[in-house]
This record gives sequence, C-alpha cells and structure tokens, in this order.
Amino acid sequence: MTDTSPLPPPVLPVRAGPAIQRTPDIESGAVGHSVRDLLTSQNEQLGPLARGAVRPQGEAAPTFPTFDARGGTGLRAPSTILDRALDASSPEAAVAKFVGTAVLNPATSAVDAYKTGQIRQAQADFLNKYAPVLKDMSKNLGDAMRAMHALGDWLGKNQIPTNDIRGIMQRKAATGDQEGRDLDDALDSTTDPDTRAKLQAMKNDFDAWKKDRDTRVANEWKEETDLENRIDKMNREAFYNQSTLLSGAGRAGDRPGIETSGDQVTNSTHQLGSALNYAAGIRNLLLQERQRMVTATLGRRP
Amino acid sequence: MSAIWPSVLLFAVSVAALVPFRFLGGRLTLGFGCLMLCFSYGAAGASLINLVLQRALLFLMPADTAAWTVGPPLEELTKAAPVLLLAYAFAGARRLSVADFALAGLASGLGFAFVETNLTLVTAAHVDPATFMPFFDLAPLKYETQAYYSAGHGYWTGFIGLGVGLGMRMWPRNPAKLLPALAFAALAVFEHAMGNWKSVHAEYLFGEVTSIPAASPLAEALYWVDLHGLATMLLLPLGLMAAVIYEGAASRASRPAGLMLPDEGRRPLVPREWIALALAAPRGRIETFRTAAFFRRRRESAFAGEDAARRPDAGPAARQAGYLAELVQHERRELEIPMPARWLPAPGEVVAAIGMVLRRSWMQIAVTVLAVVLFAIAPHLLPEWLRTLLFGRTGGLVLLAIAGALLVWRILAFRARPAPKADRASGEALVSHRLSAMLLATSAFGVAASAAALLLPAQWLTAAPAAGFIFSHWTAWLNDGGGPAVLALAPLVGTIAADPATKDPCADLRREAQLADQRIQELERLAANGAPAGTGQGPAAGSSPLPETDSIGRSLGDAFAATPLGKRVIQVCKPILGPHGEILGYAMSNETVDDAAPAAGAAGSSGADGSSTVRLPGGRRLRMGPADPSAAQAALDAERAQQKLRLAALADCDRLNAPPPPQTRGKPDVAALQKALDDAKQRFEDLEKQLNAAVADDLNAIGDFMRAYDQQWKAAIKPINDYLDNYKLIRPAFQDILNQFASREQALSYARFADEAFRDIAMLVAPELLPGGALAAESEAAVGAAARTGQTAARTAGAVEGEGAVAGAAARGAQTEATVVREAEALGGRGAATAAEEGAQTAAAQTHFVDATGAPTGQALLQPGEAGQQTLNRLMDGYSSTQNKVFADTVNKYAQQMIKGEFDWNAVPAAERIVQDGSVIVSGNHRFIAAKLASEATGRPLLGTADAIIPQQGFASQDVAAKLIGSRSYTVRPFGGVGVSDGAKAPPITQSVDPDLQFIRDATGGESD
Repeated sequence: MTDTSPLPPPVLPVRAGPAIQRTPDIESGAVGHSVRDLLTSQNEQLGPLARGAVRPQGEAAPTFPTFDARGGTGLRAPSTILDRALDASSPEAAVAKFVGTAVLNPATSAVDAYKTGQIRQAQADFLNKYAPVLKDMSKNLGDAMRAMHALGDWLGKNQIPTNDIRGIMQRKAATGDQEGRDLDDALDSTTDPDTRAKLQAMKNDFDAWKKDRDTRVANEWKEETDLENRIDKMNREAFYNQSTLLSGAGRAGDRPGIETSGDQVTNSTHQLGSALNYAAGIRNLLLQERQRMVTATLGRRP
Repeated sequence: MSAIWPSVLLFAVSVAALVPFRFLGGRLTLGFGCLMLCFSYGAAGASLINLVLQRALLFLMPADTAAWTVGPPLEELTKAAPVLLLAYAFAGARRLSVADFALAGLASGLGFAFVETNLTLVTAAHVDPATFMPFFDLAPLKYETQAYYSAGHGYWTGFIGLGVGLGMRMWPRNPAKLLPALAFAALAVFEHAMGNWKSVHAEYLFGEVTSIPAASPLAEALYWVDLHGLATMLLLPLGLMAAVIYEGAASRASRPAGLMLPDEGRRPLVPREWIALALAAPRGRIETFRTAAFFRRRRESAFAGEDAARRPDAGPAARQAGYLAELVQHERRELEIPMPARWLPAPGEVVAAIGMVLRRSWMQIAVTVLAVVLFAIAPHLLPEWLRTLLFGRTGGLVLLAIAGALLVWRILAFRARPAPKADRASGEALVSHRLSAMLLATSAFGVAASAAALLLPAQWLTAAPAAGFIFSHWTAWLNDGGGPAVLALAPLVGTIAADPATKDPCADLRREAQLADQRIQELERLAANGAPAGTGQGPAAGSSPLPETDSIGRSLGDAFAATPLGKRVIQVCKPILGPHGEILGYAMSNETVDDAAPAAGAAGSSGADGSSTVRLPGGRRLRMGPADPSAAQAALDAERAQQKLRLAALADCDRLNAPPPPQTRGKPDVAALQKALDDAKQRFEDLEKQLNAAVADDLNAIGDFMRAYDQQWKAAIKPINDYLDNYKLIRPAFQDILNQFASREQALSYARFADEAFRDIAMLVAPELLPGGALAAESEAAVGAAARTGQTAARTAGAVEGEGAVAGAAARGAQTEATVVREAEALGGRGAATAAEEGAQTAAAQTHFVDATGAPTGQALLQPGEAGQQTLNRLMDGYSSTQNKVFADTVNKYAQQMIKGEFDWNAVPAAERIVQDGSVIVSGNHRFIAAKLASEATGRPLLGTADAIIPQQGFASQDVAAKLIGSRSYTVRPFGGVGVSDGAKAPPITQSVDPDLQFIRDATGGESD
C-alpha cells in the first residue's frame, strides 16, 4: 500500500540573523548576597549593637521614656528640725520653739544636726568634684539631640531610587510580543506554501526564543521583586525613622540638666535614676531604629 | 422646573440602581460607559421595538391577553439583546466576567423601565414614590393575605444576563452554555408573565384591590415555588456574589508578577482593589479612573490568559491574551507616572475645560434638552400651540429628518473608522464598538418606525389599556395629548449614544506631556533668570498653555476650581498631638492646598523673604527666591526626568492603542519580518544590559545610603554612650549621698526612740522627786504618763514629720536607684534591655548538688552574697574579670554538669566560647568559674590534659578571640570586686533580636557569659 497524499512542504532553514551576544542575566540570589556582604562588611559594631537592642513589642513605634525629676534631685541641702524650729513669726517664738525642740528632743536634734551636716558636705563635695562631668553630660545630651535631629532631617531628604527596574523588567517581558503577533498575522494572511513554510520556520524559532525569554524573565523577576521590596521597605523605614527621630529630638524641657551660678554647678538631675532611664531609652531607641533599618535592608518587615 | 423633576429623579434613580450591583459584581471588566450604552439601548431601542411588535400583536389578540402571553417574552428577549450579542456573537466574549453580562442586562432593563415608567409618570395626577423603584418593587400587589412581587425590568434582564454569564464561564465552548441562560430566562419570563397576569386580572374598586383571582393550579404552584416573584430578587444578588467569588478563586491561581499595586498583596482580591481605589481618590480624578481601568484590564487579561491556557490551538486566544498582557503591563507602568492630583481643572484651565466639553458634547446636550421638552413634561401641561408644534405631523417630520440625517452621518463615520480587532483592542473598546453598531441598527429601525407612526391613522397607534405592558403606557401618554413625533426621539438618542469618536485612551497622558513640555520651557527660563516679580499672583506671562478667555468667564471658572473638590490634594507629614499638646508621633495626612496660597511650610512668609510662588502650566507651583534659581533648577531636573518616563509611556500607549493596519492578502515581506524579530532579540539584550546597570546602581545606592546612615547614626549614639559612661562615673558618689540620707533616717529613728524614753523616764521620776504625794500619785502618774508619752511621741513625730518624709523618700529613692543601677550594670552599664532581664531571676536552674563521686551533697558550691564573693576571691586569685557580677545558680549548674561530665562544650556556639586575654577572662566567666569549682571538687586538672575540665574546644578560636578583644571595650576588675548574685544569668538578649541578624552576630562575635 502506498501513500499517495502529498508531502507537506519542507520546512526551510531559518536564515541566520546577526549574531546577538547574550548579556549575562542577574544571578539568582545576587541581590541578597550583595546586601548581606554590605551589612557584614560595613560595620563591625553592628552585631553587638544589634544584640543590645530589644525588639520592639508589636507595631508600636520606638520611643523613649519621659524624664521625671519631681521626686527631688538629692542635691538640695536638707534642713534639720532645729532649722525648721527657727522658722517662726517672731524672734521670741523662734527662740521658744528652738529651745523647746532641743530640750524635748535632744537626741534627735543632735543626731539630725550631725547627719545633715555630713550630707551637706557630701552634696557640696559631689557638686564640686563632678562639676566638669555634669557639664559634660549636659553637652553629651545636647549633642545627642542635635545629632538625632540631623539624622532625622537627613532621612527625610534621602530616599533610595529604584532606577525604574520594574519598568525595564516589564519592557523585557513584553519584548517581541508585537513582532510575534505580526508574524502570526502574516501567517494567517499568507496562502503561498513557500512563504508559509518560511514563516512557520521563523515562528518556530521565535517561539523557542520567547520561551527562553520567559524563563530568563521569570528568574529575574524574583531578583527584581526582592530588590524593589528592600528599597521600598528601606524608604518606608527611613520615613518612619525620620518621624521618630524628629519627634524625639523635638521633645523639649523634659531632659536632665544642671543649674549653675557662674562657673559653679548648684544643682543637677543627671545623677538621678530617671536620667539613666532617659538616656538608656534614647540609646535603645537609636539601637531599635538601627535594627529596624538593618531588618528592612534584609527585605523583612521591621 | 417642577414639571420635569419626576422624570429627572426617575432617570437618576434608574442609573443609580446600577451602583450597588456594580459593587456586588466586583469583577467587572466593562466600564460605566459600556453599561450606559446598554442603558441607552434599553431606553431607545428595546422600548421602540416592543411598541412596534406589541402593536402588531394587538391585531391578533386582545391587550389583556397579550400583556401576559407574548408581551413578557418579547420584552425580555429585546431587552436581553445586548447580552446575547456579547455572549454569542462576539469574539471577546470569554474575556468578559459573569458580572459583565449580568450588569449589561441590568442596564438594558433599567433603560427600558425608565421609558416605560416615565410614559405614565409624567401623565399621572400624583406621583407614587413606589414608581421610583424601577428595579426592586417593594410595593407588592396585595389583597388580604395575598402578596405578589414584581422584580421589575432591570432585575429580570439582569437575571437573564447572569444565566448567560454563568453558562459562558462554566462551559465556554460547549452547547451546554445555553442551559443556564435558558433556565434563568424561563424563570424571569415566568415571573414577568405571572406579575402581568395578576395585575391584569386583579379587580379594583375606587383604586383599591377587591380581589386577585388565581391562575391555573400548575401556574400557581410554580408561582408559589417562585416565592410569588421574590425568587429573582434574591437570586440575582446572591448569584452575582457567588460568581464573583468563583471567578476570583479561579483566577487567584495565577500570579500576575509585577502587576500588583503597593499594599495590594500577592494576588488580586476585589476588596483590596476597592481599598486601593479609595486610596487613589485623594490623588485626583485621573489617578482614580486610571487605577479603576487598570483593575478592569487586569481582570480581563486574567480571563483571556485562562481562556488561552484552556485551548489546545492557542492561535487567536493566545494572541488576545498576549496583547492584553502587554496592555495591562503598560497600564501598570503608567500608574507610576504622577498626574495632577486634582478632581477639577486647575484655575486657569477651567474655562478651557468647559469649552472643550461643550465643543465635544454639544450634540448630546442639544438632544438631552430636546428629550426633556418632549418626554419629561406632561403633554397636557404644554401650551396648545407648542403641543401642536412638537407632537404634530410637522414637528414630527422635522424631528424625523434630523434623526435620519444624523443617523446617516453617524453610520458613515462609524464605517470610516476601522473596527477594533479582538487581538489588538481592549474588551471595552470591542464592546463599545459592538454596542454602538447595535444602537445604530436599532436607530435605523426607529427612524423607519417613527416615519410609519407619522403616516398611520391615529387609532392605529392606541389600544385598549392593559396593565404591565409598555403599549398600554404608550396609550396613556397619547391620551394625555402626546403625539407620535416623540418616537423620533428614540433614534436620535440611540444615534447620539453611539458616538463614533471614542475617547483617546492616551489623552490624559498626552495632555500632561504637553503641559510638562511647557513647564520645562518655563523652568528653563526661571532657572536662567530667577523668579519674575509678582509671580505669586498668577501665571507667568506667556506660560499658560490655555487659550485666554473673557475675564468674567475666567473668574467664574477659577471660583469653580477653588471649591474643595477643585483644590489640589497633597500628602503632608503632621505631628500627632497628645491631650496636653505633646507630640506623640507623626502621620501622613491628606490636605487640600489652596492654589493661591503660598507653598506649605512658607505660610506667612510670602514676600517677607522676597520669595514668591510661581504658577506653572498644569496648576503646578514653585516656590523660589528672587535671586535663587536653584529651586527652579531642581524642579527642572525632576520635571525632565519625569518627562522622559511620560514620553516613553505615551509612545507605548499610542502603539498599543493604534488601529490595526489594513489587512493585506498579498505576500508578506519575510525579510522585514525577520529583521523585526532580530531587532526584538537585540532589544531584549539591550534591556538586559540596562537592567544590569540599574540593579548595580540600586545596590550602590543602598550601600551609599547605609554608609551615610551609619555615619549619622554613630554621631547620634556616641554622645549618648559618653553620657552613660559619665553616669557611671558620678553614680557611686551620688549613691553615697543617698546612703547618707538613709543612714540619717535610721539614726533619727534611734534618736527618736531615745528621746521618747528620756521623756517617759523624766515624767515618771519627776513626781516622786516632788515634795509629798509621790506615792499617792503613783497610779495616776502611770496612766497620765502613758497618755503623755503618746502625746509627746505624736508631737515629736509631727516635728520630724516633714524631714522624715523627705528622708524616707530619699531612702526609698536610694533603694530604687540602686535597683536601677544594678539592672543597668547587669546589662553592661547601658540599661538597654531591662525587659529581657525580667523573669530571668526566677528561672534559676533546678540543680541537685553532688560531690565528685556523684553522691548528693545538698550543698551549693558557690553561695550568693558575701560568702560566694569570698569563695570567688579565693578560687580566682590571680585572674581578672570583665564582669561586675556573676550568678550563683548558673555557676553551680555548670559546675555540677562538669563534675558529672555532662557539660556539653560542643553545644557552645563558636562565637561564645571562653576568651582569655592574659589573666583576664573576657568571655565565658561563668563557665570558667564553674570549671575551677569542678576542678577543685574532683581533683581533675583545669585544662591542658585529656581529662581536663575545660577541653580544647571550650576556648574560642584565635580569630574570634582577636575580634572580640579588639572590637569590644570593657572594664577589667579583679574577682574580688565581682559580686555573686542569687539566681541565674538572664537569657541572652539575642533571643529577642530578629533571627535575620544571626549571621551578623556569628560574624562579629557572640555575647559572653
């Protein structure tokens, strides 16, 4: 039995076009590696600093406690019960109160006078000895606030551009679609068998190229999305960071400080536990912000 | 005006009825314009066709019979014509959603209902509010316990559309797709017929229903199942929602990479799209509409992609899907290009915008006015001469001539325009084209029908009244004094609605690009010359791209644009204030900006610093100083960068929306095609290079950003570290002061006791020393002494009360301070993580103490407090530590494990092993002390031998040790100065650090214990 049906037209070889040099694709994981290298090499202190920061609970913005010195500074010279006895409406009354107190409470008056004297001396020694340190601490705090403000201001003015990588990817993904449709149109409208065969061969070749294109684009989409996500998160974090820092730096009138008379330091609130909490809170805020920025750079939600 | 309000209100309600269904049918791919074409067809096409067909039928049967037999199927068939056309005679049918078909039917039915209702509404003596519910009749036909509902024309046809859509979605290429359509149509027609039957057969007396007869038992049974007309009312919204969910679930399988908007998630979801749309609203009209269009295109592209994937012969479907994918990607890119954030034109553009609308839509406006005069006013209200003129034969012929001429012109224009191809046009363009053709065809029918009506005898145009039948409404209108000339309105409306001049999809982008060109010119001038004087009060001379008009019109226009809607909306960062005015944080907020006001942040400074606001083309403003062109230069650079994107997007938009080239059946240019393919491949590689460069730039930008951030951040944290170091310096001295306060308080308590004792003794002894009565007074003295002692104590207490309170507070303060300091010191003096420490003390390990032989001793090796410190001093003689205290439980636990040989040295991370810097134990203090204790208890060597307590792997590698020693600053103190605390060491703070930072931690060294 012989097959008498006509053979299909031979598929002509595709004309070799100009050699197109293939550009290397963005490698899988390239963005992640690059950012990790950057973070690792950038700052030796980053690890210990990041360890020191406590992760903020929930989504609450990092902040620091208010400074409260209403309990007294501990450096105001205390008064004795005899001092207070002298506080009367007339000298006679003062003498009477003083003698009465001393006679009725001899031990208390004596002990109080002695101990209070010691305290006064210790307070005076403290203010004398540590005046330069206390002044330095005020300067430290002022410098920190100014630097926080400068950092917030800088963050508000600096954003990372994406250089339209999404647009480039989208154009890549669509490259050749129009030409493919034109080729299909030409195939639809052509009746000449030779021409159809040539067009079919071109179509087969182009379909293979489009398949390769789609594979390449699909791989690169992951990297593009990764990079864009990181930039987006960093820019968002910079914005929130800026708000936190500016509002922190803008908090006025509630920070530890000193009172002076000439060069003499007469009172201070730096030595209070509340001052420690306040400064440690600022430090923790800065650490948290830093940690959030690093986390954003890693492409995670801070 | 009062004569036309019912019609106007009815029209508004009819159109507004689409809105809730637009929300229910969330996955629509057709815009409101397409739905309005369906509405126009229902009003101008379906109604006229029914009038003609029903008139013909009335020659064959009485109106009462026709009203419930042939009337309902005819009305439903003609109303559903757009749906049927889009489903069964349209190449892009599978790109439409179920909701598209349902809403197309609903819109057509509402158009029909509007005309039918209006015919009687304008002639009614009083207006029943129920009339304004053309789609949802909640005023049923009622008699005693019987109640019969009528869903209305909109619902019935929408229901048929739902059936058609479900069939198309479930079996797109199978004849079974007709089954849901037929089933739904049968139910809608049955309801319609039964509703009409009941209305026709109900008996009335003075307008009140006196009886509603029953139909045949079978019909009544079916009607009962139909819930007496309620079924479609319930099934349409429920079915629509179910279809939306089904389609959503089906299309969620695809991941449209790069097509999602920020915060929209990974896959499209209708509620999220609504949120995104609501968020786009403050960014202006163009942003809102193009975002909505993008969502529609994205859905359509997903449907087309699914269709192409289902078909083995991918040809036409794949081409449609490919085109739509490209189009939707373009629209996504276009969303990145900022557009003017305003809803109304900018001041200065309003008059031109109104003029443009008038020029473009004058015919629509003229026909609308004509329709109002002819159709919205009851004929009997018109003066006799006007009625004769409008509804008489002469008026009718004039109208007919206008309609005919317009129709011919529109048909010619329509034919001259190339028809969109399914693989080169969006679904909306295709549907608009099809519906426009349908409207023109029905308009041609309308012209013929109107001509016939003008020629026929008057009695042929009326019939005996019968309820629920459009012809009976028409008869009522004629009886009110109307005439057949009004029929010519139908082709006029239909022709006008089928506007061949489709809107340029790139118009907004093109206009913005033109305005940007002019802005660039103006900015170049400003950058070169500085701000012109007095520019704050209006546009710079010659800068406006808009035609100047008369001043009154311009003033009106500017006033119009100065309404809240016309103002520019911007986003500003505002502080959140607490109840006492303190700043709690910052948040973004939308604010309208008055175009005439100075720029944000410069309020009140206008003129004071010589700066001025320059108004640029397109309503943009620029704030700049007179001799400072830097602001103009910065704006110019930004504008140029944006213009590049804009022009690229415009070129893309034009290419994608270009009409298809005329089809040639000749021999294609194979060489040219091959070249185009090669060019495409080369273009791809060029884009790859661009991408590589852009990604490298991005990574460099991240690096630069982080380096600069690091520098700034260090500048902020350094003074705080210095502060805390200084705190450590002053704290011991201050602690002494606090201790003295506490000491004084204690001494005073003793002194008070001594004083009281002194006074009591004095009071007891004094009476005996007095002459006489000493013994007699003994008992009284005892009682009195007790009372006086109490009084004295009270006085003494009162005298020292103030001081006592101060001292007590100081003492309490001292304790609190001491606690704070201890906690801070436990964390390296920085108090950074007090929260992490909480609870750690209570988590001391349960340790069972044993001796070297494993026998229980019940004795801890290291006691907390003074005893432990002595042990430590003896044990660690010659060594120094970086710690200020160690935890007894932790040391004991480790020591016991080492004695029993159970301590797993290998489990200690490499970065956390013991680091010794000469005699200083830098890291691993607890382990080292424990090892010394274990060595002492067992007699085994501490290190250096095979059976040593600390094996080789217990120590950190040289690299880690060098890094730790080199990078950390620590205070060295002899072990005699190291405290021994009760409890166990707090868990490492790193547990609360993001796990993603682990690699940094490993690289830089761990936390010592």
